[in-house]
Amino acid sequence: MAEESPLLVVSGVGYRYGSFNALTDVSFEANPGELIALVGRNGAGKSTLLKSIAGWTRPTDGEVLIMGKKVAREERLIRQYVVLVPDTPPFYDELTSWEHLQFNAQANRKQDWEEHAEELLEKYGLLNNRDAFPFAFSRGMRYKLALCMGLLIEPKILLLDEPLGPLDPVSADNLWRELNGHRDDGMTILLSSHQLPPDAHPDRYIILEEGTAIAEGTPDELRDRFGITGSITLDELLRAAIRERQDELEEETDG
Amino acid sequence: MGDIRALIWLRWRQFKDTAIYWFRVLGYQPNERAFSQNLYVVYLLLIFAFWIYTVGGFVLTSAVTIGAYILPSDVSNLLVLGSQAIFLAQVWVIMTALRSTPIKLSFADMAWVASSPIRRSAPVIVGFARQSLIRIFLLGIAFTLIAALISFTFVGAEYGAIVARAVLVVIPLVVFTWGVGWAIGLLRLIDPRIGRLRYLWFLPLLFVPLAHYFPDPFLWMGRGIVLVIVGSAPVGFVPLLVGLAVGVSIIVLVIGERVNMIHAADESMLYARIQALGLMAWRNPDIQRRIFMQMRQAGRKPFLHLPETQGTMTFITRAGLSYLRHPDLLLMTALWGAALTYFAVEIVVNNAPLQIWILWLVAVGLVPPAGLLHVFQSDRGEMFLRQFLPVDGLQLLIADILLPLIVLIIGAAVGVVVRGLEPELLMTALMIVPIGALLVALSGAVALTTTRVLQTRLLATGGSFGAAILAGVGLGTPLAGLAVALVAAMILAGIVAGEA
Repeated sequence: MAEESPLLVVSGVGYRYGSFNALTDVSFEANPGELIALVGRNGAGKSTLLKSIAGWTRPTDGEVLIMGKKVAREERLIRQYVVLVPDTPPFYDELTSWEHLQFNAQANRKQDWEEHAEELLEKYGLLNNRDAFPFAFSRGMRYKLALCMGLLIEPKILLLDEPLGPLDPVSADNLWRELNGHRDDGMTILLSSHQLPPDAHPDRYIILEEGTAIAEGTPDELRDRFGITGSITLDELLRAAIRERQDELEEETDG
Repeated sequence: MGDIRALIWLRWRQFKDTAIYWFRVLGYQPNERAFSQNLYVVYLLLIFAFWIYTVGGFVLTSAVTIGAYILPSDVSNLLVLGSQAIFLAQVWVIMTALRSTPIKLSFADMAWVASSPIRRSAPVIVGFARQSLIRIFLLGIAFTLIAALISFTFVGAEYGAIVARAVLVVIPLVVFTWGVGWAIGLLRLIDPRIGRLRYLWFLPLLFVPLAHYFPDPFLWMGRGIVLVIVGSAPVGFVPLLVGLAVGVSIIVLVIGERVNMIHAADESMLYARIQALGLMAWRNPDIQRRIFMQMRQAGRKPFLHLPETQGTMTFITRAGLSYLRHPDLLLMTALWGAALTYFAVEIVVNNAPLQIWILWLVAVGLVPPAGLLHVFQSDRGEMFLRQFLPVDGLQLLIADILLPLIVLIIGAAVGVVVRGLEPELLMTALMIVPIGALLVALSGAVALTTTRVLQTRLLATGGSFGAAILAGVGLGTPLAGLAVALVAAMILAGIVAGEA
């Protein structure tokens, strides 16, 4: 039996802003139903990587393939499979929350979307604000509405940039539960974050430092690699990976 | 008194910071206390003084010379109009005061001034004085020019006294007029029930028809001001005006002590958001416009609903809904079309030189119709929103601009008709209008696909319109211009399809 090709392939992706390398040779794959956490300090290249995958920006090196199709070449086609929710999502000033969902669904020719839209608003606690204009929302509410917009069109890959930052702890727990549900339904989720709820366990972590993927693996693999005991925390993981990286660089310099 | 001194110090520091920014733009580094820098600032000041002296002198002399050609009957008409304009300006000031607070607080003011136990009259006095000074300065310039323009009729070339009287009379006029505005505006900040009367600000408009039927009680001040300028005011008018200005200022002071700063802060939100943008507000007026629109929208319930449609029709109906919720954008687009077309026809009819065409083209490129690309700009500018729109750039543009483009074409056609042309020329002009409107839209859309929006828009507008005008004028037939315009439109459309 032929092995199923991965849903997402990131191959040697690099991104330069002038002479600054925001990303250098980042490669990984993601399969349907995987939840991957992108971890890194500010400016590590997480947002640039997500934008490159979503086709919002074209990498200066390497390529991104979604369902075997090159994002750079078939940018329009892959839009129906990928949604990126940025950390500060923008909205149309003239449309209410509900109209944003309606417009999205109708523009993408979704049938019988109303029930799904209502469910999403209910889940994310926005039902009472369905006829309000999102520009007046708090940051957390804006992020939740953007998520609803993204989820309404049922993408195969959901990319979330700092989804937990603007949310209160209860909403963050709820979001994580919802994301697990979507993962179980076969959606691939890639999120960048500085923090995760205590009970959050991604399938895999990718740790970025100065634009380079310095570590990647399942929680067990990383626990073994960095000698972490007990449940893994992002803080611990990031410090361990950076320490290992610095040791490697020092060794290279000494050598 | 200490409160006022503290506030004046704060405003002076803010003014100084702004001034320092502009000095830095001119190359002066205030932090470097070097001799060369001091010398440079003296040089800048001298240049500035020389510029003011020469340009000011030239403008004044030109105004007097132009005034010599104005017939005395026209001058008297101008003076009658002047007294009416003063009355209308006073009505406008009262309307503005009834719409929003005269005390404008920035976010920092809200945090540190409004929430401090400072005397409430202190920000009122400082704000009123600051606003009055700015108005006196600006209106002083306008009154000076008008006085110079009419001086020849009354005193020949000796315009010194008439200009001096015009400048001096501005002071009590401004203090009285804006004082009344502040007093009314402050009342809203004392009793919020006045602010809740949503359409109260229309009330002063009633004075306009009243002034038509009973001019004396409403126009006396404007007439008096005009008579002061020409030197034949009745004895006692100036002392009366000064007395009124002082009296109103005292009223402002007394009312100001009772102002509720919570209401002032609430009403200052729009100002504070724009003020927080700093120079960005001037560099990117779109942001300012967006903030205005958001604030206006925030107070309203959603008007109309997005119809149940699918695919491309959804884009069209969504754009339509956006414009119907902001009809002012459509109105502005129509007016823009009418004005620019009117001038274009004027240029053609008068066989104006090429330089005038270039001026017209620069105007089209520099100040495009603000509403035309409003929806497309949101769709195109925000990748988060764009990712949900499964159509290419050209399809998106067509759907987004359909309604405003029709409005622009109608406005432009009205411009042609109002200007008036011979029947056969009128038909040709009406044929050119839609393709011209399309070129304006496409040039703007192409500019939005780049980072250098203004430069690209100027280039696209100049290139497309310029080629069409040259072909039309050079070959002596509008059809040649039309053909070139169509080719230009196709090229621009191709760029939009690929890049947006």
